Amino acid sequence: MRSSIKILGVATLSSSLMLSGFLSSPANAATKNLVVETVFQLTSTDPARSFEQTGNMINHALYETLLTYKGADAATPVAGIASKWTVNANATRFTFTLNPRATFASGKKITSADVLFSLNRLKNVKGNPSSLMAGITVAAPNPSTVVLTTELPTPQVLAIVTSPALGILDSAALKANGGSDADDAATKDTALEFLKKRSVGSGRYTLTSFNLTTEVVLTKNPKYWGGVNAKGYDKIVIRNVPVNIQRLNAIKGTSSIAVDLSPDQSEGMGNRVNVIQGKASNVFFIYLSANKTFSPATAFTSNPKCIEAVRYGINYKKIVRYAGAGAIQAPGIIPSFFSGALGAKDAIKQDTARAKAAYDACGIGKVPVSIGYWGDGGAVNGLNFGSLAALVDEDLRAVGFNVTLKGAPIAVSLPIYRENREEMGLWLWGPDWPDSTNYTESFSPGGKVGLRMGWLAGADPAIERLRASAAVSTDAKARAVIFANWQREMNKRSPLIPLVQPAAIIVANKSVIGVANHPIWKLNLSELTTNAR
Amino acid sequence: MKPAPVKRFSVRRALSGAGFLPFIVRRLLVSILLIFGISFISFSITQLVPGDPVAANLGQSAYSDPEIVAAFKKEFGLDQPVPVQYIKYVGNLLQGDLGVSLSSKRPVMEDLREYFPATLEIALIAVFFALFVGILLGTISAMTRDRLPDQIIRVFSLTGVSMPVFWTALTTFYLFFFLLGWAPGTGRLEPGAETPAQVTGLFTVDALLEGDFATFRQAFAYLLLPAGVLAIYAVGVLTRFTRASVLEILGNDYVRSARAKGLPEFTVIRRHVLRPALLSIITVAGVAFSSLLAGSVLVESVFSWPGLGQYAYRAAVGLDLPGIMGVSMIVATVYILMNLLVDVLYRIIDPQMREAG
Repeated sequence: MRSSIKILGVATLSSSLMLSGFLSSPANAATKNLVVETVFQLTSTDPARSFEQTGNMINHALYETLLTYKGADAATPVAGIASKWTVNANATRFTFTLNPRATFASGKKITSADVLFSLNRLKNVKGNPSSLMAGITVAAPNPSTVVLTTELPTPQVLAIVTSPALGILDSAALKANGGSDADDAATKDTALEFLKKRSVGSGRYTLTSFNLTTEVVLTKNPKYWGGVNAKGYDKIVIRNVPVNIQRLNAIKGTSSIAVDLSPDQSEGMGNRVNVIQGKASNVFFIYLSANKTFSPATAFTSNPKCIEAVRYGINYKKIVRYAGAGAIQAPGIIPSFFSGALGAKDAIKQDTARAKAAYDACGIGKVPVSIGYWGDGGAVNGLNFGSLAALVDEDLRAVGFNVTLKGAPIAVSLPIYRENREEMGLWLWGPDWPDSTNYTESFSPGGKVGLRMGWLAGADPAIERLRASAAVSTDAKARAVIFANWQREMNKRSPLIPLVQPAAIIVANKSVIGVANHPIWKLNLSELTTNAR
Repeated sequence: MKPAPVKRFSVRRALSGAGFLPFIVRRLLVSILLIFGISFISFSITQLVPGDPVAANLGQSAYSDPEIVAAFKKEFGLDQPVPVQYIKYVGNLLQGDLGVSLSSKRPVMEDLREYFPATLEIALIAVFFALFVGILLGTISAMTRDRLPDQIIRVFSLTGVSMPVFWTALTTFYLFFFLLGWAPGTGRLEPGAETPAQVTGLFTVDALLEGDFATFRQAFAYLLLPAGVLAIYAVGVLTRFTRASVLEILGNDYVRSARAKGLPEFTVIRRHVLRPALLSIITVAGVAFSSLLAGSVLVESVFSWPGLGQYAYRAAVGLDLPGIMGVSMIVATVYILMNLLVDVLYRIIDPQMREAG
């Protein structure tokens, strides 16, 4: 038996050595391939149905839009498929002239019919991003002109058309494969599966393969109408990888870009990578329900004094420290890179004495009040909702509140939040389109999030007037002032309390050039080039 | 005392007994009933989850649009009363249709056809590895009872059973990939590598069928570490069970008699010890294999392995009810088939059961 054990030992050792040779990863010789690692937020590569971060990143490389942005900018639209555009004085009519050179990857020329089809399909397919087209009518008066009209002044249309959801598809190719832009496209359009197999856009890249849980592979469009970038990557692989493994792969050099690291995780990455630090487009906030009749607690949370007690009771500095390097306190709900964003001087500062006085005046006493949040351990921009809720809980208990934390998986907590069935809630907001009107429209009384907070239309006429002014204003400077004033008023009286705007970290191999953090598509894959030979 | 009579092993004799066919038919009928019972229980449980699949699958703006919400509900049949939904589900199930996934928007059967083989591939490797190593170590442990090899193997088996799988996965990945560089990264193949044309869905097998040895080598290299991690628990369990069974059998008179007759130790172990011990080992192996399939979520997550575990997690988080049901049905079917296989193997190995019909 002893000799058997010895033999077994030798066999194990030698097989381990053989295995090590067998398993060792081959040298990464293909320098023109880019491997991007992220935790997939992806449903498809159909622009009309995809509205998640990873989907936006991929679709932005596959499908071009009428207008777009350069680098990390999200304020000044530049030419995309449209080379020229005009807006009428009251921002209800937007005329785009298509670039005559613009062609699809198939070589077919892009016409206004393709734009008309793509935008109507987006509207009628009633997918996740369809609401972007709400109130917008599309017309194609001639093959090179597209006109978007709205009944009310809607200056944000120029920002909306940059969304990857408004990517332009080859209408003929899509119709031949089940695509429809008709009114009943919600039931008649069957192009989803086709668009997971191949793309029909005009971007710098085309779709090679799509897998919802592993990887999406893009290949350079050799016929790109804007000129092929010789330094661009031949193939881009976007892989679904857990955050901690992203870190290891980036350090080891087996991936080119890690998208989801937190500030803490991005430290000590070695000299092979660049750490690009920007601001996340998400703003985390807490709110108190203004629905007076929902529960014993909301009879108090709707009281301005209670809101004041929470607003001044929170230790914002502690939250920012938890969020890590690069994070800032959110002075308002509009993130730092959008028009009218407030500066640090406008941010609310903790004032415990004022909070305690307001708490006493509010009269909630020891009535239990719960905070709902996404509580299944997921993190966004490195921030875990559970940890954030614990920090808020600690501060509010110090003021006197009897807080209960009610975290639940997203599928459970999200409907509760959306249906205004929370006493207090801890959530985040990322922009649907890169314009501050997304915030004024959503968070004002009667707006989408306003209703979730139980804050009905008519609840605050002054704030609603500012919202209305922002919606119709077309002058950039005037708009910025309105957005700033709207936020200042919100900070005084709304049930909403902005907490933190986290950092957004991208870790990229030093050979990758042009990495910038964008609030909508995170990375512009088409802009990336390599200095590797 | 005579040693126990050992009949020469014959699968044909074992399967040709008079009661075998009725036994199989009876068990298959019961299995079908079981599958429908499980479908009812799973469906009821998914309905009890206090979440809203519409909210989980639509974005903020879309959820606020009643037209979009109505279209979504209609598309996935969520506008029907729950009993109607179940009856439709069973009706479709009878035709092999598991419905359409709310998250991938394609038939669940297609999803499972893609994801199940990935899990099956690592589970098969894991269970064969666990059987080989577990039986070997368990036997060595029993034969060297209370001596150093036994102590070492017991420590290893206990560690294997006790270590949380996510921790094992992370540490082995860190060690073999990051520090030693022996293992390739995550996934089933190198980034962007072309996958072999799907025949079985097992990349190693499909690559061999194509005669593509480079892809076979790559796929095999990528699956070893996740399969190894998945096997650690099963090795621990099988080692402990084998040790206990062998120890119990070693104490029998017929083993002593066999040794006294001067039979070589290897023959004694193989014919008089391991064969009777196989009964309990097979039971444990069957359960272990089914558990590997069901419990691969964490390993698949760490290794970005696109298998059933990842699909199940995604379906659960997104309240993708058809997806959840599909995974439940396939795991239940595997459990039932494994139990059936174990019973058949029992009949082959144990003459008493065969004779008892």
